[in-house]
Amino acid sequence: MFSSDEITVVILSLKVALLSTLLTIPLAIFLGWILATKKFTGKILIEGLINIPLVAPPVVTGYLLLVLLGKNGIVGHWLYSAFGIQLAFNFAALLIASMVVSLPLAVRNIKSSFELVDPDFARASGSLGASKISTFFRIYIPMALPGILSGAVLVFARSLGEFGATISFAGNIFGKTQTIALMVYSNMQIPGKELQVTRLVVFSIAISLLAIIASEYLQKKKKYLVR
Amino acid sequence: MIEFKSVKYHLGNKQFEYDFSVSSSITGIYGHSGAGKTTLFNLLSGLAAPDRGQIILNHTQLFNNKEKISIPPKNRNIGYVFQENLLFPHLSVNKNLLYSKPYKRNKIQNIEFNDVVELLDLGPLLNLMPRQLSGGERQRVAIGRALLSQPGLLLLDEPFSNVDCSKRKQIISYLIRVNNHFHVPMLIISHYLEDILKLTQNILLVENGKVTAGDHVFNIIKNGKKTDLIRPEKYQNPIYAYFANFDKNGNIFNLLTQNKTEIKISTNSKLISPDIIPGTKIHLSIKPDDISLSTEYIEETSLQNQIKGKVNQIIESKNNIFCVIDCGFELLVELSQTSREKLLLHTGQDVYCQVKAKSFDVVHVSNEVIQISPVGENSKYIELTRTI
Repeated sequence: MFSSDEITVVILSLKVALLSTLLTIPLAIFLGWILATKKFTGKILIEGLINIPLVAPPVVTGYLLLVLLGKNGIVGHWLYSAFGIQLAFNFAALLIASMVVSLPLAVRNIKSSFELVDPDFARASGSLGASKISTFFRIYIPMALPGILSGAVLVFARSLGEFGATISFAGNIFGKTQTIALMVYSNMQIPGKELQVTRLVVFSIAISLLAIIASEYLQKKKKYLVR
Repeated sequence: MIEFKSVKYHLGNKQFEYDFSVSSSITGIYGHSGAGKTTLFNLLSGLAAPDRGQIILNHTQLFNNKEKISIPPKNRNIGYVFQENLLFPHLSVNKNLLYSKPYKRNKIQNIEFNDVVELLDLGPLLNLMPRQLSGGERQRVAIGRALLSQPGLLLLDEPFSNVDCSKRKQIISYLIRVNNHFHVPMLIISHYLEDILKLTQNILLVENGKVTAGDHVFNIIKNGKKTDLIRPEKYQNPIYAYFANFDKNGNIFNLLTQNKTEIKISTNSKLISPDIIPGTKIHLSIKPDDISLSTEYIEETSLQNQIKGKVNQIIESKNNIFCVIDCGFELLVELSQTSREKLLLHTGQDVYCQVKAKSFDVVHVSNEVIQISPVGENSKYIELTRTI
């Protein structure tokens, strides 16, 4: 079905999407919980920063990442000279681009799930002897679980389809940073590769559709679970 | 023993001041909504911190602003049954009940899971989810969950509010069972005075953010204070009597009080099982306007009860007259000014309290059984020989 080149790209794409999901979700849970339950100054600013990649053109996000983390970037230069760490145009860049672009989707989803949890449940938990950390893990996490899972599905799908930020920050290097979306783009430029493009497009659409169905199912379950 | 010493607190513009102490095993907290009843609970349980003052529970300081003591809620050892009962919707009844198990705080108290399940009849509910329960069942689970946190004090905020009328009596009976069995002191908020009075006669009155009275409700009535809040006609005369025998003709239960006064009741209360054992203690209540007075014993009457007593006190209320009658136990009786004049009522006078058998309300049937034995040929003459 797939050629060996395509398999390389599909595997890399799935690997990035999976890792991005695993790394983004804990961060999104933390941020979503803080934003849903705490009041502090500068909250709107933090929310704005998280959500920039959702509204800005992905290429802009990629460019900003390059300016920030590229070899000559503000943080990137220091990382390279002090530790020899290079973050642009490699697997790490691929992962970072995916995470930054999909983080707002996860945070929004998870935050709204935490907001649905009546804070009185936390008070009840405290009156039964639970500490705040216990209450977080025994009340907030399980009650927001459908939202967290649907957030994870969206992150996975968004990572799999990421294009703009990736091509700017990670490049389009076969075997290193070329994902399904980038391969489709490259093949579209070459006459006679229509079949290859179609195969990848069908695969992408199938994965996206599955993700949306899963996310919708979990959203419904969310309302059912809380009260 | 709960003490609030010069406790001050504010919420927005509203000021609260509490200065009182309570030591009865069940205390009712009564007042209009917004008077500061739940605030009192929040301060006691640590969900809110006073601006100043001292809160003491059983000689332990929970809060003292001068000594900078403020014990966090989870270490206060107080079980809190919230108004909305707040069962965790993602956990089964069983898991809700066991929620506090990892945090077992009180080494002295040892309330067993099986005892709680049995006492509150939770067995058939254990595998259900909270959304599958009725209002009354949820309330029982919430009480059980709070008990299993091994509390030294149980707070119940409006335990009857989400329960339909017929189930309220059931909850009252369960609360009495819990109190008798586990001996955990209880504070109960309700705006149903009748319900509180079936549970306890010890009342804290909360008005405009202050505790304005804390006493036996009968004393509050007898002192003639707070008649706008504690209306004597709302009073529920408590009577404790022992089941003697069953009168098949009239569907009548014959009971006997400690001072050997006979009480006949007719009831279809589900609390009394048909195979009730003689000697079983029954808690009854009767409203002041369900009792009439006569100066003489009436021979020809359909009334089942004519309880002899003496007028102890006459209380003048806005519209009516209330008499405290000493029958070995005290009864508050309501009558009109006309009746008073007709009977020429005065203190020290002998009277008969006349009550229909069906006017008595069964509040609770206890596990406590005393031995009673018939005397003479007619089994209605019974002597109490031993109390447990």
